[in-house]
Amino acid sequence: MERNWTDVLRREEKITLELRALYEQYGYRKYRMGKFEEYELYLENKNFLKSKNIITFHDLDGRVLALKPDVTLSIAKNTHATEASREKFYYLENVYRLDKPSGSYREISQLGLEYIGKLDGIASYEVLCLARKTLRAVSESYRIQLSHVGFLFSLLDGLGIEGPLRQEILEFIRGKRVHEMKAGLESAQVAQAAVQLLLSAAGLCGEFAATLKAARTIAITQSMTDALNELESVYALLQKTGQAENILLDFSLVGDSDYYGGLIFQGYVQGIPRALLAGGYYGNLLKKFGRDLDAIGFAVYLNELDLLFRGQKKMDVDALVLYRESDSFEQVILAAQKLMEQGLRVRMEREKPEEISCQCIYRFSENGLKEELHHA
Amino acid sequence: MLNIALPKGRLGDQVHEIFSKIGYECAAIYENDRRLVLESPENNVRYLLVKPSDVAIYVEYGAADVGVVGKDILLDANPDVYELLDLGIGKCRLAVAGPEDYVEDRDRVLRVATKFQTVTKKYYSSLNREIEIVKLNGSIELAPILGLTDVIVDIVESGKTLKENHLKVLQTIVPVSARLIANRSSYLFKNDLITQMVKKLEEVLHQ
Repeated sequence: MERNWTDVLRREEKITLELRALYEQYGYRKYRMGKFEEYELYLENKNFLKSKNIITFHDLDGRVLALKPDVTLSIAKNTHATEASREKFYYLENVYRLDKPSGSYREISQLGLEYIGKLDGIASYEVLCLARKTLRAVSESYRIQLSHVGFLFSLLDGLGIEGPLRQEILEFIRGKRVHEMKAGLESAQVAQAAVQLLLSAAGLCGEFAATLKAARTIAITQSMTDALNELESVYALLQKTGQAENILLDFSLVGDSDYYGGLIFQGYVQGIPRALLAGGYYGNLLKKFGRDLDAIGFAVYLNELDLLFRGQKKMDVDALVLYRESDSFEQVILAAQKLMEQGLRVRMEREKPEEISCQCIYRFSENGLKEELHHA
Repeated sequence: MLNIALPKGRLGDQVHEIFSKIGYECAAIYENDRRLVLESPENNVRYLLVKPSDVAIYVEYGAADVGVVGKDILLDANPDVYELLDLGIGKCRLAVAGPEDYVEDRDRVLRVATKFQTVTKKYYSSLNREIEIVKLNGSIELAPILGLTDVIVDIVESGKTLKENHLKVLQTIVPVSARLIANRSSYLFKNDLITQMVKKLEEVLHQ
């Protein structure tokens, strides 16, 4: 019996392959990047990074390089997309970030998908649709929170709220700390009407259509209405093609860096306490690099899958073949190969190693293999 | 089933009392034994009794869906969770305290004893004051008495402990009370349970 090679893969590895096939199916190409990037890039764009901690080192010519803490910045800097030709690709890369609880650096495996060029309704649709299918491939129990950063930003602009208070309000909304926001706004002497608007905006989350309707009642600027129209049209397209399941609207999603400037979304699956997927529109980043282009994409934090698939480990090997110094090595090898041909994972040993678990143990003798009783 | 992380001790008892009023009673809690996981299947709830400073960790990592924790701990640990409600109990303040006759010398680096390092650093950097932190985990009042530090940053409830040790509050940094927090993922997958809970709590708290 031929052994199926995919049996060797762990669940998360299989999912990664499945997702690659999915992205290829939609015409995205795989893009391989270098591990290093000029440190300067992160220095100049630190507002786009979640964490300012970066591993740096000197290259032989004296330049300061960094192990990438982030992939999107490199993509935005180096893209070959133009107004006429779009770039659609995905990547599977490791990034190096500070892990807050342990206080040390961690290597994080990230699968991401990017769409760069001139966007239209199909582009946003496609990326959201693939984000949903990505989550669906991981678990049947998943949710996407969708929002548009422009809605809140424009509300704050309309109310003339800037500086530290603006940051504070965004933090309140991000943490759903509505009770604190009320007190904070009052102590900052924000007008009562504005307080009411902000409190309503902070509470906007839930089923898409109803939340959108509620959001319309507080849209005081044209940009707010534009943001809602954009959400509505992409959702309508998802709905018409049967791809809108489990997508919720949640305006508390404001992102924790300056990356995003339009549609923004996060994906969760049951059993993982943090977002598994995050993405959105980041055209403003490209404009910062002098490219008048749009971009939308997402990243999947593959490390998180580890939490979901714990305890899937089977036996280390299927069969352990024990032999003695005096046995015919040729016969031992032939006997083990016979087992391998049956599709088993076989390990030859003189004694059973303490830390190896196995389905059955065979003792070699001149009459062939004899199964020994053992308790795994 | 809703998993709730409760701080062990008096605050936890008070919280359970409030939660009982909204249908989350768990009789096993009154038995006061050493169990750390207490379940009430009929009320569809499981309580985890943990160290107060660990509540936010259990919730952030999803071992509990929701939890109740003091704002002091949230400010210091800054966990990535939703903070849904101020329960208005466990009220106290985070404050700077020093000897009764303390006069600050602003030309010296200020030595501060505390277990709230993040909040302390943030507070003094907002005042543009250079400090040196001595991290202590308990009996913090001792530090200024023995001359280990100039002042302390700690939780002050009635001020009785300070008074007995001849210390006084110099500045209040922030008022503190117990908050209901929720895991970001649980908030989506147990949304009905959690939003119902918040709604009922708001009703009970406003009575």
